Amino acid sequence: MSELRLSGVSKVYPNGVRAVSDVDLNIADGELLVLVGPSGCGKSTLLRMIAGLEDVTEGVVEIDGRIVNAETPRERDIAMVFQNYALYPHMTVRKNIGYSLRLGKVPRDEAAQRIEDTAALLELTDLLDRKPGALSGGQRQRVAMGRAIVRKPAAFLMDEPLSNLDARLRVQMRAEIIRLQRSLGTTTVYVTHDQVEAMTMGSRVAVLRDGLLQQVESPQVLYDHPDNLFVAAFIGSPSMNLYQGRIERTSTTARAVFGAHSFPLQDQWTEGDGSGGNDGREVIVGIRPEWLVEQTRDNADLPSVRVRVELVEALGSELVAHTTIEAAGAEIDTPELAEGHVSESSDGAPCLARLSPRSRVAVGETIDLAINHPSVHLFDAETERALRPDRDR
Amino acid sequence: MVFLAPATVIYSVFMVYPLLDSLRRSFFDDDGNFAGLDNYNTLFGNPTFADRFWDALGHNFQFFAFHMVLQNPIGLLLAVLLTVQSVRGLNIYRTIVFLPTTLSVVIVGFIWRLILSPIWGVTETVGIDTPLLGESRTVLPTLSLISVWQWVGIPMIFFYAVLIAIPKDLIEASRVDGAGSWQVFRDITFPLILPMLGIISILTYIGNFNAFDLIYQVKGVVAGPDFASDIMGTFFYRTFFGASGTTGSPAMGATVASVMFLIILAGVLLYMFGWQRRVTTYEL
Amino acid sequence: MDTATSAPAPPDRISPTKRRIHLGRWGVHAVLLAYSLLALGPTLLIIMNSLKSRSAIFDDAFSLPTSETFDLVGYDTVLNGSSFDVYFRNSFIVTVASVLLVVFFSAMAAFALAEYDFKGNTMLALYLAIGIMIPIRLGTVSILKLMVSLGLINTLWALILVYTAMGLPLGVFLMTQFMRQVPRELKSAARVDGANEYRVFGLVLPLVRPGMAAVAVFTMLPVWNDLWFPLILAPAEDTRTVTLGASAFLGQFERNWNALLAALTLAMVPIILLYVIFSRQFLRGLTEGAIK
Ligand SMILES: Nc1ncnc2c1ncn2[C@@H]1O[C@H](COP(=O)(O)OP(=O)(O)O)[C@@H](O)[C@H]1O
Ligand SMILES: [Mg+2]
Repeated sequence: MSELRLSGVSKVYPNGVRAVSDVDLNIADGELLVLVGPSGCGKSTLLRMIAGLEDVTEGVVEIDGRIVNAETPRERDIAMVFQNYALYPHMTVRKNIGYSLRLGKVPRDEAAQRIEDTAALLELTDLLDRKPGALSGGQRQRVAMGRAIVRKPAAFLMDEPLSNLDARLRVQMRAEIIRLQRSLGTTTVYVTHDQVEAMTMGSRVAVLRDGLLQQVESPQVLYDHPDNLFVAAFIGSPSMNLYQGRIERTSTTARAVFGAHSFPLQDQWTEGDGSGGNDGREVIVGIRPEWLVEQTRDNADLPSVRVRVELVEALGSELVAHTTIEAAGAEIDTPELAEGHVSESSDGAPCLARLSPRSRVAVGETIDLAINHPSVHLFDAETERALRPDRDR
Repeated sequence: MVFLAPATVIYSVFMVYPLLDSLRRSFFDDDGNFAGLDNYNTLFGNPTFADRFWDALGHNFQFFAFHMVLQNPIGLLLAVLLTVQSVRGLNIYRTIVFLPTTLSVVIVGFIWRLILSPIWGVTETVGIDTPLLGESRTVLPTLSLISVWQWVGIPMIFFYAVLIAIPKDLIEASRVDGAGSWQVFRDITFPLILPMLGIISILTYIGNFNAFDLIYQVKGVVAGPDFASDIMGTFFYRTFFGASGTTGSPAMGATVASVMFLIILAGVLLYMFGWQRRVTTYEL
Repeated sequence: MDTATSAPAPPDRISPTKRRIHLGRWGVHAVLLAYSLLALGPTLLIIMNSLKSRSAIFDDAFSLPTSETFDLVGYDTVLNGSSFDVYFRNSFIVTVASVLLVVFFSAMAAFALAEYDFKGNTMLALYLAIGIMIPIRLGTVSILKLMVSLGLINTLWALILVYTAMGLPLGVFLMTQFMRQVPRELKSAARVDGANEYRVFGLVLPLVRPGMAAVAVFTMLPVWNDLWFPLILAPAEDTRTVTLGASAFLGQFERNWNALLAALTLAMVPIILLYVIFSRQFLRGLTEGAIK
């Protein structure tokens, strides 16, 4: 059981690619930390530096206060689960699981016992004498887990361990990993590019972008208070609607204006020195698709936006409306985030709304959607940092 | 089938038919009369043939042993070094190491003939003063080494091909499991390249028992001195075409070819049933 | 525990792995460099000395030619009265023709073997594959008789036909492996679009280009370098290949070291240059073929 600490960790590959920049991160003893970010952002690199598979260019990696930069993987006592499982094809499941014990000179009897226990824990007992080639994807995944668990290591490092499974199995294994991690209490760093997986698994989630750590928080805080535009857009599905806008304030009121629409800002924005600060400030306005509801008589007092419905996806539990809104969309230069949006060919910017399945919206209609939320997200157009009334007023 | 015809016809006419016809001829004399096992009796019973045959066969096994002991392990070593991650500039070495393999045997033979020639005296500077190619004791080992020098690129590139096909993940997983470089090689890399080791061995075997060019080039058909470098290929050629006084005999040539065929067949069968059955190739 | 707060690692604590890795790296370089020298040295020694005067060759074989020792007399001797141009042309024709025929015919056969399920498919594939294991040289006696009766002795055709037969077994085998990797949907799509079988074949060909490259490389080397069949089937002066020509030619200069070295250099430099230029493609072809 151990604590991991990264201080100022950077990685520059020999070809000059700067994959990880100046990451500070503490992972407490027994914690499950999820590292999430679009692919190519440096997650694997960071994990591999912790494992000792990659030299650390700058900074310090510590395990339990011991600086391990100079240690080989075998000295670090860390187990890793790989995306493609990396099972040894020529060894049986038993040997795969037991390989580290054999190398660690664990006495034969004890090793056999630990392999049996691990297999039982993962329901692999019947498969112990098979070779990986004769296993299904889910079974291979469990063997890979077993290989990590059997060692009782200081920490588990998992690099997208579920991404090769089909959707149903993935959900199932997700729960199983959480259960195992809780019961074993082993410090774990779990890497994924899937924000849904990140939100459901981590007690804390670290968001990485282009090698830079963006925010480390609990899933709820990430969702409610993203520190910057990237986190806002990355967390949540479908992702947040973002528009270029401006703050307009008078001595008594303040509102965020985007395109033909506006949203009244909370009192905090108007309090203070009355100097009219922030007036005219260029911002990006963020509205979560789940805040939007059909406008009815009951919510007529809520601020609303007018949109044209382009496409409706009825998912049973909800109804996702792809619409266009008269406003300028804000671009964020990470291609992964663009998926799922209607193309910009129609005039106006795309606006996604998660509506109640009972909503009666028809393609081609122009409708009003109420914003059923006390606030919208505001980000500085320049720095992309979140604006908070208490801080940026 | 139009698609299959050209390949099948050329292959049958110019390869399969001659091979079978050669076998047939080994049972006939040079005038085309059926001779039963006479040719074989001559080959194994007549000392002028039998002595040469057993000598050549013995030399050929030595020749093969040199390749197995030197060429293939060196090729493997080079391939392993060439696939060490995180070392740059390895492609240049790969190109250089393979270079001798692209040269023709004639050139290779001549290069070494000149270099090892006592007239030039290059070998004296490195402390060798025997004419390595001139003495019966040293000629076969020297020729074997030259052949190894030339062909080491083949096992190197074959091992290289399987080594780069091993997923990096596997190696890393074993390192995280606590294996050092040697253990990674022993427990992971080596078992995975074992099938290739078999393929290379059988190719070496076939190639060696079929060898001719280098010896012919360096020592001529009589494979001197005193037949000390005679192998099956040169023996076959001499039997067929004759050399230095003796006349050749197509029938006896065919007989030698048939025996070589059996020797190679034995090796191939041994490989297929003794090795291939036991060594599994794993999907990576 | 309080080392945890000492953020930047003191350099001496990082160095152990660094040093170990560097040692390993240098070790790798050292071994490879040593072997490269061994591989390249003899060749360089020949080329270097071919540019020197006779006395310099024997006085100090290991020094580079200097302005005093520089001498092209060997090249003079060789270039006057040799037919290397003819030999090169012959080798070129034979190699290119055999390689093209092998690549094309084995692609066709492999297409049929991989694509159609007909009776005897496996048998035929096996029949063609036997040739990988059995050297064609063992049939030389009959090949010679056959060529004599076909009147092809001392023609390049004799060589081309034999080499094509020799290359086909491995060629068909390799191409079949590559053909199997072409997605079935693609061929089905073409057929649905109304392509006949020849069209489908034409469509598949570009997709197995790596396979064709591999087959070409595997065929090329033994053909170019063969001494056996040129010696037996086409020894005439005007049908000699480079390999045979060089062999005979070098024999004439038993005592003339300048000429020997120059001739050797002339015979190998074009090949070395070609190889160095195409080594990337060449080695890739070998590598891809090797794991099939
Ligand atoms: N061995 C390497 N050499 C050079 N660049 C690399 C290497 N491995 C990864 N990279 C680069 O580093 C960046 C981060 O890669 P990686 O850590 O694998 O991202 P992720 O796991 O988040 O998808 C990418 O731009 C990738 O191209
Ligand atoms: Mg990754």
